[in-house]
Amino acid sequence: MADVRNWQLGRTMSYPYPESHPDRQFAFVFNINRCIACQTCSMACKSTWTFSKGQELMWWNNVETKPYGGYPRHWDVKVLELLDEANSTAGVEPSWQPTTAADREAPYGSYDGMTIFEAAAAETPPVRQAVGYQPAPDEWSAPNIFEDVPHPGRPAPGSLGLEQDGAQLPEHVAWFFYLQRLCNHCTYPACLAACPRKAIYKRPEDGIVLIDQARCRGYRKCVEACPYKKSMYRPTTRVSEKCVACYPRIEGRDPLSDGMPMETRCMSACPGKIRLQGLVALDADGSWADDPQNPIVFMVRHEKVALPLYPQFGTEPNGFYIPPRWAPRDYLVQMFGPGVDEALARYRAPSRELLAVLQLFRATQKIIFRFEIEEGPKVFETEIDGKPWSMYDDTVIGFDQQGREAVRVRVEEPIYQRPAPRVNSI
Amino acid sequence: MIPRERRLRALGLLLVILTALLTAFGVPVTSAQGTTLRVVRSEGTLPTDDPWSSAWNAIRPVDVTLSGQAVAPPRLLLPNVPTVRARAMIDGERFAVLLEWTDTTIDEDVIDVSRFADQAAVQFALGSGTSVCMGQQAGALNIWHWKADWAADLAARKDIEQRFPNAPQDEHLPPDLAEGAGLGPDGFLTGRAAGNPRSALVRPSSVEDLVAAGFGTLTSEPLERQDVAGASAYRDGIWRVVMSRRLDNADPNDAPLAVGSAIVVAFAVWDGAKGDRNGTKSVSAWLSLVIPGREMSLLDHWPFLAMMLVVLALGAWLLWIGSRQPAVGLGGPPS
Ligand code: SF4
Ligand code: SF4
Ligand code: SF4
Repeated sequence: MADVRNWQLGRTMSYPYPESHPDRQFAFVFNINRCIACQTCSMACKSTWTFSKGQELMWWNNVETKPYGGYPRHWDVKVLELLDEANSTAGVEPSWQPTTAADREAPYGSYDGMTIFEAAAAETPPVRQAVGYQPAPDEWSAPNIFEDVPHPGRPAPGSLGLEQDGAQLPEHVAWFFYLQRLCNHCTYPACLAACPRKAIYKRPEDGIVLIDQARCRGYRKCVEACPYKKSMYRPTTRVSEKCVACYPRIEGRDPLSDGMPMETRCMSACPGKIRLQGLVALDADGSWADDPQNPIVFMVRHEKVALPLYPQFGTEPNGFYIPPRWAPRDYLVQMFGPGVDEALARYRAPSRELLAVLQLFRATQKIIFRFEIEEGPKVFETEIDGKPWSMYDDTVIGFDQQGREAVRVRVEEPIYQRPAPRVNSI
Repeated sequence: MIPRERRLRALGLLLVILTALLTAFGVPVTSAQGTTLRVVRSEGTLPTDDPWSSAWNAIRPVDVTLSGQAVAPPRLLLPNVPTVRARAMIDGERFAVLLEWTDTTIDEDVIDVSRFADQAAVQFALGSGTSVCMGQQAGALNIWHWKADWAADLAARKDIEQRFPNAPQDEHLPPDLAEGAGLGPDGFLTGRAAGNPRSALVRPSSVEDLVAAGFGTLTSEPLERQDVAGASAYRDGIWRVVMSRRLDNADPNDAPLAVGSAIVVAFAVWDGAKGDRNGTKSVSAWLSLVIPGREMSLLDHWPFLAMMLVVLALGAWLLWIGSRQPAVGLGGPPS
């Protein structure tokens, strides 16, 4: 075990391999508030990568409904439970200790609970690299089933999932949100750590984590160790497969991309415009280069509006989420860490810059390496949480890897009015 | 009284002679301490295809104790299979080893993500200084790895339909599209396209012929050099697996199995039902596998006897010289 720096935990942690970082890191921001669960992303991935025999139950990208849903079933509850057991065995009461706001490398404070790697090392005797579990076939086989019924579990036969007693009114306690998931191309991947074959590697150019299809011997240690359950076993080839981050597009080899890095299939297909994906430049020590004009860096590190998914697992995932405004805060804090309050405050009343950057989502397929904002007039004023808030019709411009303008969007969507003869002509 | 250093010198000489004698008569005194597996010369045809043949039953097996694998993660601390019984035979052409162990279930399904197959392996040390743990830089290993799933595949490769008859059967690539892309109706079979032997449509044997030189270095030999045959049968709670190969096949990556030689071997067994795979296995310590030569007459030993005579003469001469010197020098008590 080596000591490695995990900025999401605000501390060093132990990991089987010493630090070694790519030049850039594949990363993405998802705005949960906008997802309509259309599954276009899931189908975009499936029709590109997993349409062959043996991949029927494989959803490298999936969208599940929280709190009941999960693919594989109850994955997060199970991993959280394993960590809870490990912490209580060790007598650790996990908590986030505040750090000084100025500490760039500890934006959410410092977490003192055990990660999946540390929990494995604390087992007596230690036998594995990360705590985890192996989901059974039926846990993968029916994604989304029973997720959107009023109560969890299998509905009574013939009930169509409707409750006999109806929903309880007037107090409306039901809540849900959609969680969009794919491999997080983690900085400290558990799949890679657990593979005794060393068949999993993280690419030095973009941090994409891949399974070498020639080396894998189907041990499924990665399936067991990945806390996000994004490494999957394929029965027809008897080896494991996972999201490849559409690497030909990231490399700019897609014929459409004009040689420029292009966002992945699941990102660029999203009609809800919830997804923005990019490449983040890393310093030699692995920390994010301070590049506030990169939209991902701006949202994650400067505005802190997007948060990592279950940072306490310890893999330093590179997918970040703008949390849903309406879900209970303690649930969100468990899922995204202690940055939730601040992130939601900033999302509810976005700064002038953030509002502009949010317009970049799904405005182009090219990866945006830099943005600039051209200021426009004030178009709206209101009060949010008792404070005045103004909206400006700024223009945000995104630039590709070579610094060429890739997209230009205004905050206010242009309005076109149909001429009278064609109103309601559909 | 005989001086101390002279006594030591005589003792050393005795040890040299003893070692030479033991080695000459096939008793290993190298790193392979422990049990010896003596290969039996087959009277009739070698029962390579029939693990339960009476010819195998006629040989007394060597009980080999297995322990867990506690060196590298994933570890197994207590063995899931505590003993394996080993027998070995040769005829003029082939060498065969039979492993037999108790297992309450047949596990040959690897279609189901949560199931693992029963497996067994023999590893041969290539050169000296090899570690029992997958070989080290100093010496490589040749590994014969039998897998119950590969054995089950031999007749007809198992596919999803056998394990999950009600699994969704998507219409995959339309034939015209599939053929245009050089694919079958099953579409892209990535592992197979990458040449992974696990994903292969047909395999020559249930035993994979591998080399390794340290953890994580296990490498399958190329298809044309996969020359280990396998036969296995499960009966009344017992697995029997025969692995066989031509005697010395002149492949430097393969165990040199020459008549009249000894080689260090170790065994490993995996119980699929317990989730065993990779490092979670029950392993033996090194054993000496002794392949007898033809029967030898006393005269066949002449080079050895001549050498012994020289050594004895030299020893006697040294002792005589020693007795004429005063007792000084290294290690002598101060006078
Ligand atoms: S395509 Fe976008 S909106 Fe639709 S489910 Fe996926 S993430 Fe949500
Ligand atoms: S999400 Fe899972 S599969 Fe992806 S890199 Fe992280 S540990 Fe590996
Ligand atoms: S990045 Fe590409 S491979 Fe990964 S989930 Fe999205 S579409 Fe699938």
